[in-house]
Amino acid sequence: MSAFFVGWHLASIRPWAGFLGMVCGCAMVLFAAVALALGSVASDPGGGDFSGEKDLTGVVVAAPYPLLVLAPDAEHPTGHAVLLSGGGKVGIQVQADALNGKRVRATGVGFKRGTIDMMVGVQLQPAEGPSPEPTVIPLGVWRLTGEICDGKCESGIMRPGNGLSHKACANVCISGGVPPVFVTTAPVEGASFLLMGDAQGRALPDAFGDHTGMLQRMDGSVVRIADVAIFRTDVTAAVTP
Amino acid sequence: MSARYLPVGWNASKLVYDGVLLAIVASYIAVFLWVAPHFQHVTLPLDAYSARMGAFGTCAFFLLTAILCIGPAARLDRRFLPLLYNRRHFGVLTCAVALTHANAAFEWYFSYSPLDPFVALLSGNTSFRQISGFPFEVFGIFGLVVLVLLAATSHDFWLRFLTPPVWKSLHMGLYAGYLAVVLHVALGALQAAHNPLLAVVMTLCVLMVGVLHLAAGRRPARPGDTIDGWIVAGRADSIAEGRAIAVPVPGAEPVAIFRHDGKLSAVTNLCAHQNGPLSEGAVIDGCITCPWHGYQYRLADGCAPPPYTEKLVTFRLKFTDGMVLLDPSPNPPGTYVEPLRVA
Ligand code: FES
Repeated sequence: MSAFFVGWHLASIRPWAGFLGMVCGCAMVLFAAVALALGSVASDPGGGDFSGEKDLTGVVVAAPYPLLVLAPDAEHPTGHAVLLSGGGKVGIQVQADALNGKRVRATGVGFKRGTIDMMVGVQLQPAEGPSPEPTVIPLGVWRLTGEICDGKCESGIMRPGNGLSHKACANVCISGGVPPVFVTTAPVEGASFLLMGDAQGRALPDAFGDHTGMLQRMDGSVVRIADVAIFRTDVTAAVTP
Repeated sequence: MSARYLPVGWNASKLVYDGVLLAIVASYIAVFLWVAPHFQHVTLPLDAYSARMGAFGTCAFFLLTAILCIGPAARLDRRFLPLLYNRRHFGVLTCAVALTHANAAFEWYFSYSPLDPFVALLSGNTSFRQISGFPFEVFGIFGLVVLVLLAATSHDFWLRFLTPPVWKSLHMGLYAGYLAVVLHVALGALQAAHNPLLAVVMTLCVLMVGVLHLAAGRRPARPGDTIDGWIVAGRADSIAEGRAIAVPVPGAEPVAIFRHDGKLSAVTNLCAHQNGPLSEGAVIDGCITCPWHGYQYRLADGCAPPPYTEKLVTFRLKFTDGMVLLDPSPNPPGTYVEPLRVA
């Protein structure tokens, strides 16, 4: 009778052992080769990274999302603004609203990607000293194409912190109060990362979720506070370009 | 064969099988996570969770593809049958790999928010009316539920409890799970990928599953002529000693006719274990032996030898004009039928 394998009798595999050894060897090599190929073509998640423990003093701007505006210095002649967020996927809107326009000391952990400077796990305490009202500089009306991301993941807490596979996470972050940023395909007055707000300069409406994580085109006005550009737009009118 | 239940009825074949499988999975994960990053062109490396999601997610997909290919491959070439023997352990391992992928995504994307992570998972993306941005997570959840359900019911206890036909239909759900996983990847990772390699590899996998099933599904045999209600099964010498042929029966499962010691016996083609194709088995130690896991049955009455208790339905045979005829009405399982001596 020709060869017949019986599972509970390993020796019955003998006539087919060479064939099966070859199949298993090929499978092992194929799996390893595919792992090498797929693992090495990962999309570049960008250069966002941890930028150290932070202890900064400046003026709070609560809308559209919390910002800390620092006084001008040699590196930032127009002043520097840092986006503020809580620990985890949660913002610090309540803290910021209570101290809006006031001088505060902010402690937390920094993340930086390009021009986004983000502080997370932020604690605000009132501080002594002057609290000049930050100037809002209008930069005109723009039609922009780019991706709505949450500022926290995009700044390097997650790599990658953008794209469609990250969409649900971005939605959870933004609805938790983490500042959203618009990452443009072409810079606007030197900025590729714009903080987002609604057309009136308030937080985004709840319906933003259909537009995150993918390329969208939208119209709105751009203003600048210190060195942060803010895109004020009706996010619900965004279209896929 | 089952006389009592053990968590796993280990034997040498299963140990070798599991060892090879674990080595393949471990090398895939190790190469993906620790070797491939040296060849990436990235500003900074992926974070550990994202890398883990990619490694375990793609690995689970390939394992699932392999599981679905084993069945038709074994039908087309009997030398693949040993790969089918321990396919349940293959399934359980695939489920564990998929759970590791899901756990990384769950912890990374849906935890650390004021929402309950399960609420975050289900409410994070609700863009059901668009293709780009569609909540691909739902397909992943469905695929995972299928895998967990199949892994949880893979034990022989469930097989006996649910009965082989129900168990087998349940486990056919793997095809729905596979489809869901393909959609999960197509609407998720593939949309985010900048390199087409994953799309190409996935397409090849899906094509391979389809082509193998089509090739194995070609059934040349059609029910033969009938004489007074008996089906003409063919000539006795078309059945090799110690082997069987499958005779198609209209509206019913095929019947396996075995030849042993110059005598013919007919039983259902469906093994009482997992409905394996008995006609592809052989007679060993005087018993019909299933090609899938080696369950055995006596030729004359379809009963597993003691202490085992499985029983097959048997069929009557007769000769007319040198042709073997089969009575398509089944006898109750375990009914003795005198084997038909070949003239
Ligand atoms: S199906 Fe498992 S032994 Fe027949």
